[in-house]
Parts: sequence; structure tokens; C-alpha cells
Amino acid sequence: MATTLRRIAVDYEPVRLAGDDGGAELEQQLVDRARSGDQVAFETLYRRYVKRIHAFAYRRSHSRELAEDVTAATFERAYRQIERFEWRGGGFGAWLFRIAANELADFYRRQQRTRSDRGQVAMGALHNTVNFDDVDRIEEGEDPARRMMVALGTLNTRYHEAISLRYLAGLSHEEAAEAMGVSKPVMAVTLTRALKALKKAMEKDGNQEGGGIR
Amino acid sequence: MNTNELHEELLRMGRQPVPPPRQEFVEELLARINLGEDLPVPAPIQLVPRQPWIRFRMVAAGAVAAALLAAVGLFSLARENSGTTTGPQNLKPLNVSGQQVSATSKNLQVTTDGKVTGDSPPDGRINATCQAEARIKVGDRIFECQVDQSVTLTIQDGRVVDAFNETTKLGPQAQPAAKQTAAPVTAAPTTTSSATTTSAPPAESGSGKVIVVTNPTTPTTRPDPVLNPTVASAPPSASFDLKNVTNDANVTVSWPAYAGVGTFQYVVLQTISPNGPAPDTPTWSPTDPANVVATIPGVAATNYSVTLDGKGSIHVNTRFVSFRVAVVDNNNTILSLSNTLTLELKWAPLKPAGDPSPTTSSTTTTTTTTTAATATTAGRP
Repeated sequence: MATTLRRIAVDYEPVRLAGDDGGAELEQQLVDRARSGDQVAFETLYRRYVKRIHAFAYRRSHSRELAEDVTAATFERAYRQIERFEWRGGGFGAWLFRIAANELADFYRRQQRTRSDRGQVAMGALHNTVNFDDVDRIEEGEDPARRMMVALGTLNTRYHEAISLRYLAGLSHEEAAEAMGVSKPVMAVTLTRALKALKKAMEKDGNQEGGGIR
Repeated sequence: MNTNELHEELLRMGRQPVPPPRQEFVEELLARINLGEDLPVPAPIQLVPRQPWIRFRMVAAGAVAAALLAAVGLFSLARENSGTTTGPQNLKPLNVSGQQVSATSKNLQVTTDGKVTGDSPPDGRINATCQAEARIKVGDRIFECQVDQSVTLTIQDGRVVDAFNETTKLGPQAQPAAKQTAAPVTAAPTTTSSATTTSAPPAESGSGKVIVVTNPTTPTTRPDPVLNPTVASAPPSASFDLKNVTNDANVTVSWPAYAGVGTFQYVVLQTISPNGPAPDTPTWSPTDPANVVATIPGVAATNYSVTLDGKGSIHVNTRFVSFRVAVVDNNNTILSLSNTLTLELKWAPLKPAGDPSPTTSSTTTTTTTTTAATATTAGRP
């Protein structure tokens, strides 16, 4: 376990949005140029964020295929809707993460709709639709993470979005609030409730495991 | 697990390293976005049978929409007809100043019925600027222009038989003609007058071709020094054609040697359009060399080659590239000017070289992830 933690500490690269490195002004210029149809500007923004969006989607799904689908849908939507983008504190990155979070939530919502047996939703949202194709990384110590992802798939869209943005996208509390378009206090309340709902969902999942449903 | 532990666990998950996206995916996605192609939907769309009552509702909505459209159409038609037949009170004479093939500025007045007065220009096409708001009758329609708006008039037998401006854009040639007026290197006006048809390509209506027509004087003649200073000098020699030879990603543009005397150089100009439509006509002036990609001494060569490997000024997935060559003397005077050659590029991943030798394996890896272009001549010459 200690080895794993050390490796994480070495590999950890915090998500940096526009404001972190003083590049907000440059990014705003790029966005303005992209809005006026400058392909090169959009390409610059794309290259700046594509790995982060992909990483976000991958952390949530543990599926390379789904992460690529979500990344593609995110940038395709951003490209088409960039004229509607309004510059806020979180900048372009927060906007992209929100699109990606919505795409993920939509995906899980669609998965839930396709299942006739609602009792299977909690289990199936992740287990049957998401492939842990990087199986080598799923170690014994990461089982809580797996349970957490299963439970996360059962939450409502808002809670799902709040937890995804705050933790899996690596945004700060303020950035996550900007991305969700809410104030910081509202974000705090939403996040607290989301964590409680997640905890409850995990406990429920644990009880079902113990009961031999799986 | 309490809430704090949950918080910590989630934070830890957010910091967990993940594999980077595949490079091919990153490049392909960017290419698809740039080309405007529809991307695959992450999940299949669920189709459900439509209920019969929905069909009735759609029919009813369609009928209402059709009735509304018909009403709007009739109203517009009536309004348009009334505009055409209202009579002279809605029409205003047109005063323009412009330049024709003789490269001298003219001031023209066009009456509301399209008759031209003033400097009595010969028949042909003229690029001009409206000096006041005008509304004149051209054929069976009304033509409007605003102050300082660039217009192109076709004059025949002392009457304006065709007119368009930047907003009307009646034909594909409207835009290039308008741009030629503004661009220094394309200042030569388009015309079909009898004085030039023997030496210059004729105007091809609807072809979208960029036409450059110059006076059929000897190549060594210098531009008229009394030209309006706001308009760049017209090239005095006949324009020439560019030819291209493409071999996969290698494009060679060639042109006939300039026949004039004295010291001169070929200035190769290039503009690109990443995603279409075709790029702007390459322009040049001594103070604006932005489009210059090569300057070749007159005695050196009459061709220019470029490899479309995405590493130079022509980026990967550039859709169109236009070339043009100007013959320029030591005083930066344009002696002659080519037409515009526009190429449409199609980009595709390079195939692996397949050479198993260790010395080339790294090259093979590189070329697999790079792209190259093949060029075809686009709709414009």
C-alpha cells in the first residue's frame, strides 16, 4: 500500500485551469479567436485540455472506449456551442469539464433507462456497461474505489456532477462551483448532500454484496 | 467509511494516474472537428414506435406552418413588387467613382433608370465606390448601394445592365472582384472590354475564377504614374497562368519566364484556408509581405516546390491553398501577375514504410503518426 501511495505522489499532476498559471488572459484571447472561427485557436485550446478531459472521463469510467467517446462528444459540443460560452471565473476549462460531466451523467442515465429491472441499476450502471479494461490497475486495495464508482452511478445527475467535478476532475471547490454555475455556499451544500447520498449508496451496495445478490 | 474518509478516498481517486489518450485518437478527433464531421453518439439512440395521435398532431402543425409560410411569402412578394413599381420617388441616382481598364479614375453618374452619364465610359465592367446612397433600376430589379460601398457595374450601350455589391453577391465572381479592388496586388479591374479580350482570359460568369486582366501593352511598360494613389497600380503586362504538378505530397508550381528586360524577381504568394471555402486571393505590397513564401531572382527559376508534410506554413488538415506569382522589379513595382491557382488538399495518415531494418524503424514510427497530403486542383484555376 505504501508503494502505491508513493507512486501516486510521484505521478500526481494537479489539474490547472486558466487562472492557475496566469494564462487566463491568453486563454480568453484564444476563446475569442475560436469564437470568430479561428481553427488554430480552437486547436490550441483543444490540445491544452484534451488530456485532462480524457483523464477525467477515464477516472469516472475506467474504460478507454467510454473515455474517448465522452472526450469526443465534449469537444464536438464545445466546438459547436463556443459562441454561447460566457467567460466566467473558471474559464474555458471549467466549461469543458461541465460538458464532460453532463455527457457522463447522460451516459449513465441512458444506461439506467435501458434496464427494465430497476433493482439492477445500482449494480449494472458500472459493472455491465463499463469495462475495466486496465485490469492490471485494479488491485485489492482499490476495491473501495470500485464500489464507490458503482455507487456514484446510482446518484442523481446533480450529485453525480458535483462529485465528478470536485474530485474526479480535480477542480477546486471554487472552480467546481463555477463549472456548475452555482455559488460556493450552494456548491458546499450540494457536495455535502452528494457525499451523504454516495455513502448511503455504498452501504446499500455493501449490504447487497453481503446478502449474496451478486 | 465516514464522510471524511469518503472525502479523502475521492480526493485520492482524483489524483490517481490514468493512461493518456491514444495519440491517434487525439489527432483523429481534432481532424474530425476541423472537418465539421458528425461525431459518433456515445450511446445508441432508442427508437420507439410513434403513437398514431402524434402523427395527427404533426400533420396539423405542418398545415399551420405551411399556411403561415404562404402568408409570409405573399406578403413579401407584394412588398417586393410594390418596391419595383412604386416609381421614381423611391429611386435615387447613383454617383460612383471607379477605375476601368484604362486605369484612370472616372466619375460616373447613373440615373435612376440605369443610364450612365459623366465620363462616358466604354462598355465593360467597372469596380467603383458609391459616393452617396443610391437606388437605381437595373434591368427588371432594383439595385441599392450605400455610401463608400464597393460595387461592380457592367455597362453596355451607356446603360448599367448588371450591378452587384458585397451584399448582393449575385454571382460567384462577386466576391473575388470586390476583393480585387481592395487588395493592392489585384488592383487591375476586371473587364471584358474589347481592348483586352485578345490578351486576357475572358470573364467566366459563374466559374468562380479569379480573373486578372491587364493592358495588352509591352511587358516593359511601367504603370501609369498618374493613378489614383488610393488604388495600387495596375500591372502593365498581360497576366500569366500558373501550372502545377503534384506528386502525392509534393507540389510544384511553375510559370512561363517573364519576357521583360531589366532586373526583376518572382514573388511567390500563398494563402491557406484551413477548412474552406477557398482562401482569399493572395495579395502583396511592399509594406505587406505576409503572403510571400518565396522570392526567386528572375534568372534563377520559374517554379516553386513545396512538400505538404504539415510541418511548414501549410498545417495538417488545411483544406485549400492558393498560389500566385508576381513579377516585381527592383523598385517593388509589379510588372506582371499570375492568376490564382487554388489546390484542394486531402490529408490521410501515412502508411508505415514497412522496412524492417532497425535503422528505419524509428522513422516508420514517426511517419505513422504524421500525416501527408495529396493535392488536387480545386474548382478554381
